[in-house]
Amino acid sequence: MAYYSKISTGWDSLDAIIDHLRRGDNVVWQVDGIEEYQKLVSLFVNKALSNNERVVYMRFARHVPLLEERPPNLSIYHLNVENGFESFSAQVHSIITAEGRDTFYVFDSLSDLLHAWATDLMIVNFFFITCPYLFELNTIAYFAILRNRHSFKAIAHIRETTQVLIDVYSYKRKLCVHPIKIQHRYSPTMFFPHIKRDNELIPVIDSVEATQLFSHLLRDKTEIAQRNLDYWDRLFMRAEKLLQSDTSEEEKQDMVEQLSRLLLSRNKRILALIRKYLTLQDILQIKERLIGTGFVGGKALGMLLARKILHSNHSLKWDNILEHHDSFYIGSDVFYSYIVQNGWWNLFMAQKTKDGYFSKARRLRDLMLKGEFPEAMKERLQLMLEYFGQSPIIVRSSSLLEDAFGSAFAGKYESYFCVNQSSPEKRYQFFEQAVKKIYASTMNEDALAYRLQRGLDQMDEQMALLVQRVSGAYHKSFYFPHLAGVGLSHNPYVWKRNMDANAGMLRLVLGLGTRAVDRVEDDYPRIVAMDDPVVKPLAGMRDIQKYSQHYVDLLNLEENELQTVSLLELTQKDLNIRLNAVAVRNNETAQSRENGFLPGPDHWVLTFDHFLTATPFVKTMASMFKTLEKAYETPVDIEFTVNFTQADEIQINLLQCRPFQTIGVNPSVAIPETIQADKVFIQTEGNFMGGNVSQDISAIIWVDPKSYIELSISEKYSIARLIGKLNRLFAHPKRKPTLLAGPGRWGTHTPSMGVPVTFSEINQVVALAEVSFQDGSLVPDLSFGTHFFHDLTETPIFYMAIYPENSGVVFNQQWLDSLPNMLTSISPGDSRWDHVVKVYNLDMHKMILRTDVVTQKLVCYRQE
Amino acid sequence: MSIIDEVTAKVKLVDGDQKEFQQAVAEVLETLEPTAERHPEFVKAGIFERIVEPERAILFRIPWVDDRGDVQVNRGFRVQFNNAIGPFKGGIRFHPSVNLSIIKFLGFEQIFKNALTTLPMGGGKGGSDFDPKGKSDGEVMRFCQSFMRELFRHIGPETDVPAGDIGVGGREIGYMFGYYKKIRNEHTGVLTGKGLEYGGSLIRPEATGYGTTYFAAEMLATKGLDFKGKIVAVSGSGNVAQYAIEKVTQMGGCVITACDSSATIVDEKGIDEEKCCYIMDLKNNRRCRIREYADKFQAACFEGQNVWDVIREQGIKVDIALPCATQNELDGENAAALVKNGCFCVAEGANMPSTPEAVRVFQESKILYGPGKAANAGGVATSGLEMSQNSLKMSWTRKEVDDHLLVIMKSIHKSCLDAADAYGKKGDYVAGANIAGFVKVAKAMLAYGIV
Repeated sequence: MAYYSKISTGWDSLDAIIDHLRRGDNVVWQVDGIEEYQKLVSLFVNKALSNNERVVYMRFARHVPLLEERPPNLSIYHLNVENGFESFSAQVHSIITAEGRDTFYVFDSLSDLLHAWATDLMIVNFFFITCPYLFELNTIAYFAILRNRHSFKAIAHIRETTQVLIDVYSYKRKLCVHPIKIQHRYSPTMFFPHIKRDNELIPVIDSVEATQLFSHLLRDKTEIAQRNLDYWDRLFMRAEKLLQSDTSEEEKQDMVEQLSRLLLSRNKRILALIRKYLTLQDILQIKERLIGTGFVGGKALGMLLARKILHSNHSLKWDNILEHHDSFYIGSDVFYSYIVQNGWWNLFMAQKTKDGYFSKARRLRDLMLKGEFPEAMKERLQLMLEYFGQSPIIVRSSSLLEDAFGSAFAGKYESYFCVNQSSPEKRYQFFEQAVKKIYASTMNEDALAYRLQRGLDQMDEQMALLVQRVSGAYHKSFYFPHLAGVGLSHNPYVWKRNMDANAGMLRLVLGLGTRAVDRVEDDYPRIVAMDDPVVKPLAGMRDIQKYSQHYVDLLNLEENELQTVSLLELTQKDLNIRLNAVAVRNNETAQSRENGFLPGPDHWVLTFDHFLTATPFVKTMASMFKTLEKAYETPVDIEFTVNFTQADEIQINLLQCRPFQTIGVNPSVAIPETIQADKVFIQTEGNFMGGNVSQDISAIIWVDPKSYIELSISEKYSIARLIGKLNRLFAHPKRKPTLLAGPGRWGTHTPSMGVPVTFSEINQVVALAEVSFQDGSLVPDLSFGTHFFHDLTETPIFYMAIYPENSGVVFNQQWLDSLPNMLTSISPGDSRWDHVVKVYNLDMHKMILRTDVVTQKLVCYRQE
Repeated sequence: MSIIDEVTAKVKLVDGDQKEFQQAVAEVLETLEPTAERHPEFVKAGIFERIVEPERAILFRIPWVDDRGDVQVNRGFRVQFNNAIGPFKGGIRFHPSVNLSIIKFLGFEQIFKNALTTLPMGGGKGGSDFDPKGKSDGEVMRFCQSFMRELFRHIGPETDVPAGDIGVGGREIGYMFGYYKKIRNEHTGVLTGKGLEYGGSLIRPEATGYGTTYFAAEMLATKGLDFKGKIVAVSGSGNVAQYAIEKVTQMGGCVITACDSSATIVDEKGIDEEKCCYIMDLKNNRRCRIREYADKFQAACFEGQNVWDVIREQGIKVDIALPCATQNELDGENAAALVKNGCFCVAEGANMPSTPEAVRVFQESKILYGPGKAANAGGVATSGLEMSQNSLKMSWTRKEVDDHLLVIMKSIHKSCLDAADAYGKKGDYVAGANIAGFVKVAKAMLAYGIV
């Protein structure tokens, strides 16, 4: 291939005006219609092909194809724009990388991207990251944009970025070519408009003719005012007009769907819900509170949709019950713009590769904490903060992957409270830092590993943000909601016969809900079975006290930070927190140490019993569960807070709602219809706790019932201690997910009933099985996990009860017995117990534990 | 075939379905072999056959109405095992695992535990398969009342004095005592474990830890030693460990360890009174991990290991060991390391904290070893002290109760030592503890003739 530094456009006259194209040129044609661009493209490509150059055509628009795939030197790539900016840009990036240096490119009209993306900003961003890369690779690339379609700002950015920008239009039915920018080339008439006469381009240098020409171009003045705005805003202005007009409802709903695809979700099931429950007005209201462009994200959508679903149900006066919200959303495009405009795109792309997945992530995370937002964005954010004033707010991640049907992306990204107590500048700084921290959290190793594990590593991140006013009340210098928690419309922890899983459950705390959402070591939220709210799987005050909430999360307004304060300290501060409704005094501890009846500090235990029985709260939540579950057609989980009005009525703030989540890997894969019978290790219906799981099991620790019952009491205790040792040395929730199975009741005080372990001796396993054993004295009546109920729910550890003697239940001990016992190699000093305690490594067998709470099926089988 | 084997075999035959009880009989009787040899009169009077058969076992129906209005029926038990030396005495357990075998097993062991305290208490146990977990307060109350509606006719301050156990805490004792008082119209000491307001005793939480320390001090005294200046290892951080640390410190010892299920701390400077208060606050009020102690007082912290593992691996020298955490926490290897590092006294605050191998190591090396049976009998003794106060219609001060406890522990120690001596096993507290309680009961039974 000959190497020419000057390249022809295929049109000699044009070559003469612009002094040829040069390698590295990005050429943007601003045209009235696609035909003009098509002509220019074919001139260029024919010439290039005849010179034996390699040409690549990037095909993605809906307009007619610019080129046909015939010549050997021409490749056509069909790109998908529907999946959004990130995946499109990534596709282009990887094609360019693969094609290498010196290639010629033709892109479809960039204006067509508006159809899918609806924003000038992201087209500019695409251009901003692609052009320099093409330049670097010494290529020539043709782009087109349609006149009057984009905002002035967008055109300005494109002009700034590209090497060549040429305006093409027709004037008095004649083609006009007007170079706007030609980098590093100059001639006295280069930047005049040129009119085509025959095949020659003649410069319009006569001032009379030029004036006519330019005034012709500016004829549509109304358009001009609008073009100060991004296409995005213009689109919504059109929708606004449509709403005011007397167009048919159906047409308006079509607009809802069109806008929803840009603003809310691309998920079909979610879109169906949106169409059913949201009106055009709702969509426009969401848009009003959106900063930037793009999606509002799963968390924000879940909240909005759930509220709307409730309001459309008239069985309760939800208007009086639900606390109103005035949240803002920061669109997902802002995240990409932040990356692009700080110049990290190449690094971002490098992170997507196998080699860079973790190594580049670290660098990117550090950079993302220190980037700059454009001035315009800063202004928008500052306005929003002014709106909230000194009210505490919370900035929450609202990624598109979170909270959708079939995905399990719970809690991998963080939320940050802004207590908002200092000067406006400081408040802004703090807020901006929170935003950056959430953006950077996409590069956290945990989140990345999670995505990789689930095959989501190449999917778009689409990180939007939800900015909410913190729901709560002032208690002297503290700020927090009375109560907060999470709710599941299907109770995965049914620990008692006759308890109805479909009634749902709550995890309830005093203060900020962080303690209910996150699982905190050694502290326990109140677990409420909705059909029997007062009962607890605990006996006596000692246990009730032990398995209750001892610490409260709150915002300290004086210190301007999120704090965790002990309940004991809080209850002595004389705050108006309605202790009598949520807690009881613990008289049993009060008497233990003091002499006689001297009053010490009151020890309150948060039971919430009075609140649960004397207020309509449980009924309200039950109705909420039913309504949402019916609309979503699947169990849901929610986050909420509860406050009291002046009149002492409860106000529920619904913060989040999403379809019920599956714990574990490959959540979208259901239990296979048929599993080869000899591959099944455990199969049972019902009798398990822990919700939907899909959990790899790479080891089993098995206590053999027959040998166990033969042991003396002292020896049985030794087995418990040995389990503790294996738990410490061998099991690990991630590195070695282990199932612990044995006879009778784990954690009993009576060794003949089961292995008398403490919770800390089993806390590293992922699943616990109690197996009934008929031959011995081990009662088939299992404890159903209640010995460890609270710890199992908090850790969380999956629990199952297995009755091998029941029909339909499988527990394949024979297969287990055929495996080699690894006990001695793990703990050589304990070989005398190898007939009782068996440790099996299942790495080769690809064992998986799957459950479905709706059908109540549990199956644990080999996938080898 | 010895009488012991015969009795064990017979129990297996007649109580074939009572596995727990069989196991307890076998394990207890095995230790009593020397008494059968020494006392042919026991054999002749059928003491062994009689002692494995309860005086009476009452099995009764407990109907009650749950919150939904449905009738529930549970099964109640009271096994009055032996009242040779005092009224039947033993806890009530509410737990779904309760059955006749378990209650008999616990009641049988209770005879010897109580006798060993040297107080006049017989042995018994009771309970129900009722599960207080998941029951509302009202349901628990109605159940307790129904339970007492039958039990009241079998108990009394001079007949049978039940106490709490698993599933029966202050709340349940209160409900049962209240109902007893109502239907009998008398306020007598018929239950122990009562609230301070209505006849309970002080020093209940402290008793086991204090008692273990007193017992250790008595053992040391036999060698002319005391706690002053001694390095002491205590395991655990619950009630027993906390009060053992407190008492050892008061007696001049220097406790350097404590642990919980997640970690062990070693504080070379010693856990003084202030630090001990910190542990109490940490564990009883704040419910945090022991590792916080290490951060606060710059002590060493060993994650995932118990005290005895740490002592073995770090080669820490201790003079006295008080295992107060859990069953089988101290194994043969740990015991060997303790002895090698110069430990000369072990007193068990927990139940069976040393494995049989560990016990063997202690016995063979001839160090002072006080088994839990004797060393932690302080807990059982407070029930007796509550009974005494009820009979006297007095409430003793903390100091008075503590003084009595000291007297009792001294007396337990002496009776163990004497029994061991009498059976030619001088200084063997294990043999002493096994034999002392039994012999006292057996001799009383012998005196009564065949009844």
